[in-house]
Amino acid sequence: MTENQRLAIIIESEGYEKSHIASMIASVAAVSGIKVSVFITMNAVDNYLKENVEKKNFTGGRVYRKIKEKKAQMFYELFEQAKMLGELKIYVCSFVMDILEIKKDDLIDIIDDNLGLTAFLNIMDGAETITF
Amino acid sequence: MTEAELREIEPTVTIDARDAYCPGPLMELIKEMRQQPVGSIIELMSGDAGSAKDVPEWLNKVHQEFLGVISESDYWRIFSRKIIEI
Repeated sequence: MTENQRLAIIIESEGYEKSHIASMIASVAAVSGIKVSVFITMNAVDNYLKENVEKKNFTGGRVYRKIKEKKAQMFYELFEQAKMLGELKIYVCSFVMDILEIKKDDLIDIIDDNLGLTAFLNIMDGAETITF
Repeated sequence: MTEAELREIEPTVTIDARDAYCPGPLMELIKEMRQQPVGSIIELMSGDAGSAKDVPEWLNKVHQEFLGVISESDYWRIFSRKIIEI
């Protein structure tokens, strides 16, 4: 088992596929003994609002349309599964919540907490980081 | 193991994940492996070409035993043995 290996993923774009690939990487990493932290910020936050998830109100391209058509698992289902099988925490940027007036209750249940940049920089310190 | 030997194996459990997309088959294997006792042989049926390469890599990384793969016409049968608790 990979000891103490950590991965930080930042998702800032609203495109559906960005969150999807992030959830795929997070899943495989989390079940391989890697501690994963995901930070959702900027326009990506919209994809994590209960309202948009319930209506499947996402913006995406051809891959997104095929995922829906073929009823493949959606990114939030992959994240949820990964949380059950490995060590994965998902945070939403406090700044975006403030500026868009979003409350914790407006976000889907897979979100662990809101977080400021100082706290996320601490999480990123020494971790492999990927940005979407 | 050779393909002939793999075909003789009687798995403790077989998972049919042929309808799942990547990383679905791997996740199904992990769920099953957590539940089965040490020593169990698990057969994973996957229609996703990536799984035949990914699953052995994952098994190696988490120190479980990879027994081999049989390539059928439109799916793969991936055999593993749980050797440590996860």
